[in-house]
Amino acid sequence: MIGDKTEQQFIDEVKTVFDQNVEQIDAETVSRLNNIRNIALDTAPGKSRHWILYPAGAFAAAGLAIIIFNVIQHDVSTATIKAEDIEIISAIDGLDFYENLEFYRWLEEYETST
Amino acid sequence: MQYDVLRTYTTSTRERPLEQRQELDQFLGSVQKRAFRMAEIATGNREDAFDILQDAMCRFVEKYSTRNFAEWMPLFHTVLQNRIRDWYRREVVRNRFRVWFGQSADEQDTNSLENLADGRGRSPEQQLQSRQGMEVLDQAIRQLPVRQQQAFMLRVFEGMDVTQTAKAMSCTTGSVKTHYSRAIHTLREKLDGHWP
Repeated sequence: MIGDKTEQQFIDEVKTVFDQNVEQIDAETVSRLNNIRNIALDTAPGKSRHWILYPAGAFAAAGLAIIIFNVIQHDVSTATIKAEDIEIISAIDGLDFYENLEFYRWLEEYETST
Repeated sequence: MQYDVLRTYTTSTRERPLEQRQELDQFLGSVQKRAFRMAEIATGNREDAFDILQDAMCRFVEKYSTRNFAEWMPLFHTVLQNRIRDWYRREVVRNRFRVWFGQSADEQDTNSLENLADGRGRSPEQQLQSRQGMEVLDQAIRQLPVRQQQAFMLRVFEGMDVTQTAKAMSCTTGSVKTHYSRAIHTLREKLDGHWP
């Protein structure tokens, strides 16, 4: 019972349990810890690792700008096509005019040449 | 002049003087297991503990490796404890989101000693006999407020005195005494009947 022990006895026991537990850490965990240590050792003193974020951030911003530009362009061209479609459909001349476009172009060229 | 420029250049990354690298390697090697276990106890999550330790080691090497060797231990623990505190802050935010999305805090609570004993169908005595003694202690420590955890682990596990602990925790010695005293009192209460 803990109640029967002095505070120092309790602390000593807790420390012993912790020390034994640390000694029993498995090989795989130790291997990962060694790996982490080596990564840390390759960190330059006094240098922030955040510099890596600057080019990455710039690259991401550029990519985002391109995507937004393309979307806007796409929207504009889509909007234009839709307007043209409406114009064609609602034209007084009707669809026959557009089906004979080649003929009208030839006629225009012929009249210009003569 | 040229030598100074060359020396400045060679102190970066892998070209750091071999002697200093060896000292750092020895120091980090000597603290890594205990630091990992402390982070694991604090978080209750193995992978989070690895992340915290890596972050703490990198930060320590980056910021403090040029400092006097005698300062390394308290400085390393200062960095480690700060990382653990950051983890707690993030956890608080995550838990708020969990509550918002309908999971109650009770459903999340798997930390109580009762749950541990019931979940495995063993009495606390059997747990202790089968090398699980630390698990009972883990759970009890994890239930403490973070500042009490830190004070307890630094004082008991690392054997730091009150002043060193205060430096590592970035608080006053009075606060350390209060946190430590409360932690001991709570642990004795919680472990009573679960401890050999």
